[in-house]
Amino acid sequence: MRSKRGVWRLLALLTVFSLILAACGGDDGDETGGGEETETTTEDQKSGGTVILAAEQEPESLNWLTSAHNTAWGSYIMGWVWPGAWYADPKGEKVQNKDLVTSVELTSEDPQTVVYKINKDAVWSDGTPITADDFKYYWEAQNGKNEAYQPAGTTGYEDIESVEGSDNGKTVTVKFAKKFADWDALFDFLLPAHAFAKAGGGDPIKGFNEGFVTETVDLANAVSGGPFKVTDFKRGQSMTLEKNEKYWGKPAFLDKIIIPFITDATQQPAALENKEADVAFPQAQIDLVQQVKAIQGITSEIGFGTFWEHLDFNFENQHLGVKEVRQAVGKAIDRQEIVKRLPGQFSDEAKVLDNRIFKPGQDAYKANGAKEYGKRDVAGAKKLLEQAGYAAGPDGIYAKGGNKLTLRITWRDPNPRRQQTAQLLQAQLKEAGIDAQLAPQPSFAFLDEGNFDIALFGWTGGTVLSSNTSIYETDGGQNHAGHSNKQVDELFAKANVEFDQDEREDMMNQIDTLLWADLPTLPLFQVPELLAYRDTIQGPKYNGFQGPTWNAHQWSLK
Amino acid sequence: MLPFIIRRLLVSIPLLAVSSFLVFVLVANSGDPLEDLRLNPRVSARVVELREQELNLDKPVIVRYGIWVKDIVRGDMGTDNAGVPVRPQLTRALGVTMRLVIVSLMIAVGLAILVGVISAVRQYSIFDYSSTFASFLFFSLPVFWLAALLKEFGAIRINRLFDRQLVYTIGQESVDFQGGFLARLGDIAGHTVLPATTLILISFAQYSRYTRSSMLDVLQSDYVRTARAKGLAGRRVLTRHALRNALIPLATVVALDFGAVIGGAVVTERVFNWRGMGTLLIQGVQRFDVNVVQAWLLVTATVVVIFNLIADIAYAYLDPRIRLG
Repeated sequence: MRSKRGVWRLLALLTVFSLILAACGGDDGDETGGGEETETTTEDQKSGGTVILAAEQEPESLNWLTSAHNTAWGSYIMGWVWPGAWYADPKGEKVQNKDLVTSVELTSEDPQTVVYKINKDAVWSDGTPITADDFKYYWEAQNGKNEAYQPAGTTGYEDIESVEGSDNGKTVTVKFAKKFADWDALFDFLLPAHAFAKAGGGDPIKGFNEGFVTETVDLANAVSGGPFKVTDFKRGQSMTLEKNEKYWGKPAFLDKIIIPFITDATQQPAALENKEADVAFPQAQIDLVQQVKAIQGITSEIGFGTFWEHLDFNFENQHLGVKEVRQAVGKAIDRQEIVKRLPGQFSDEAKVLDNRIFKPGQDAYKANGAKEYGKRDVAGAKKLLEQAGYAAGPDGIYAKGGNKLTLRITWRDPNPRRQQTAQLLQAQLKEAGIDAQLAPQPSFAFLDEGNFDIALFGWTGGTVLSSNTSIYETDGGQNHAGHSNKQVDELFAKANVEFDQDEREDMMNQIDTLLWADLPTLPLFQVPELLAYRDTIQGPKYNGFQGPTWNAHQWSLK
Repeated sequence: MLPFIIRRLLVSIPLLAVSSFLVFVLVANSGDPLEDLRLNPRVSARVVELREQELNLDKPVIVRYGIWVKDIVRGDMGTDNAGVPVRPQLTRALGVTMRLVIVSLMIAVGLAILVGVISAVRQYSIFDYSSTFASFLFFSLPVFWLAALLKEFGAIRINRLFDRQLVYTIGQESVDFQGGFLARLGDIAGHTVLPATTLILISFAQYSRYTRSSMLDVLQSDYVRTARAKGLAGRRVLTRHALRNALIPLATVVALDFGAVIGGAVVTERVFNWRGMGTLLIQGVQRFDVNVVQAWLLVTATVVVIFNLIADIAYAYLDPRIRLG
């Protein structure tokens, strides 16, 4: 019959086609990826080329410094369009942006005065010179004095009394009303004051809050003071950065960086494999990491950044208010095991975090917690409980005065990583006679309300040491544990006005040591991050402090 | 006909009002849009307070709903929680979804009718069995898994085979496209092929089953037997009489489906990074963004109402009367 022959013909074609496909899949031995990593100096790097960087967030505004639009990717993308006086290297050390500021000096400690000298050749991409006016605008927008501005943060800028220009605006003198020891962390970016005023229809405040909202932005206003400028922004799709021809400093190597917004991180590996992205910095999940590792021609790096997980003990809880009980909890927990099971799945280099202020890799890092809490000590935990007057009941759980040692572990749901952590903690604590209950909450309100016994959440660290104050000082806004130690308070007060960096770091470590003794909180581990990039690109390197684009001006094609 | 249409449209106005109120209350009560801001140690309480005032979070839900109604009747969709106007976001998302959905539905329906009719006419043949198998297979496949498979075999391997970028996995068009009109068309096709295929396979599976079973029903009916007895050619019976009636259930399903699918094929959009209505809704819900979700609801509800109406009208139009052939 006619139809039967047709069917067989079709089947034959399909078989042939699938055989072809099968032959093409499988081992690709002719991939040329995987050559030796050669250390080249920047002189050997080639100019030109385009790199596609997959962004996990689409910025709602080019100005990410507002409270409404403060996203990490906003700073990653605009970091080299509006660079400032410094940026952080992978070790968290501040690198001066010598193209922009030829010198930065603390000329007087009392009254605190800092003088910046702007490069004489520094101009915005529309030809307007970069001057103290831009520094002044940056300060005014973030000092919190004018309520109309909506900055994401005011730390440091609120302590500045005045920002004056001289020498044709090329010298900036910043006078502080209150001493601020992290002065060198200020002016990390710089906004073009005149362009912002224009974007706000003449109103610099409107320009700051709304002028660069990407839905309505006029890119002509996005003048650049760095090696790249924004040339295109397609909402819902991508944006493009191109080499800024008007940049007076060392030019970038790449001609173009295209940034598609791939907001679902799980789709980024396929994009990398299909050459629709060359560099990606997705939130690390174990399947994603394994997928990326399997792609030929892509190098992946796991780094441990500034976001770290920890436990906070509520001092209002009748048990946790007692120091021995907190110490017992600390000893009963096996942090090594937790690290092995969670961040350890991503990398063998995952470590227990033994310092609340500094991170491993930073020169100032001291593993202050390693001595007492480095290794699990169930026997020691039990002893401490007994010292505090607790006695083990028939079910193995300790109790005192008829009150069983039952503690709730609370985290914000849904969060698979924290749920796993809590489950591990529960099992570990049980072995030491502590009954832990899992009590997740749907929002973070439990922190402010004090509705928790043991809180499991995270902080983002950084280079501004004074921002630790509100977490650990008496009645601090972020001191959810409710801990109070006069010595800690005094040390903070001293450290926050101490200009000698080494002295300051020393004081911070003293604070950390005191906190390990009191144990209001227990650091667990740093959250792993993934940076993936094509082998044909030279330069990308993980930087937990500044993000994946920290050295985008030094990226080049091999 | 006209009074019927007018009556239906009038009834849908209170329907829209009630649903918009319910959704508003639901979204407004599901969470705090400023939660992240409150948690951020660097943001002062005063800033949070000001943002609250901007978003009307300090007012009771009824008042907020009233404000929204007042704005919407003037055509103002408001701004989302980040201060970005909603209307352009909605227009863009709608455009993206329509582009995908219209193409996919057209192909899915065409394919389904073809396959369904042949299956019914050649019931229990190899073709029938294989198309039934295929339908059930595609119908049961989870969308994200199908999409992942398509990305691997439909894009990555094909591109490797031809050593050129033919098929894309992300987005609606190439980011930095340079080239003429035809080349651009090819680029858009390369981007649309995978998400469209995903939607087509799944819709086609559904529609071909409907077509087949309704065609089978019709082919057994008296009037078809009569037409054949009267000596009409087989093909004429099929196309002029049987098919038209068999399409009635399908027309109803497709019309209703269109309303549902314009709300965004959420998983497909997410997997292929097409920022359409589905993505807009998900983001709106995740951020507890009332204005966004309300705008989405208005569009979707209106489309559902209109297409329900169209389905009813089509049904009335297709009502079987044998025309003397």
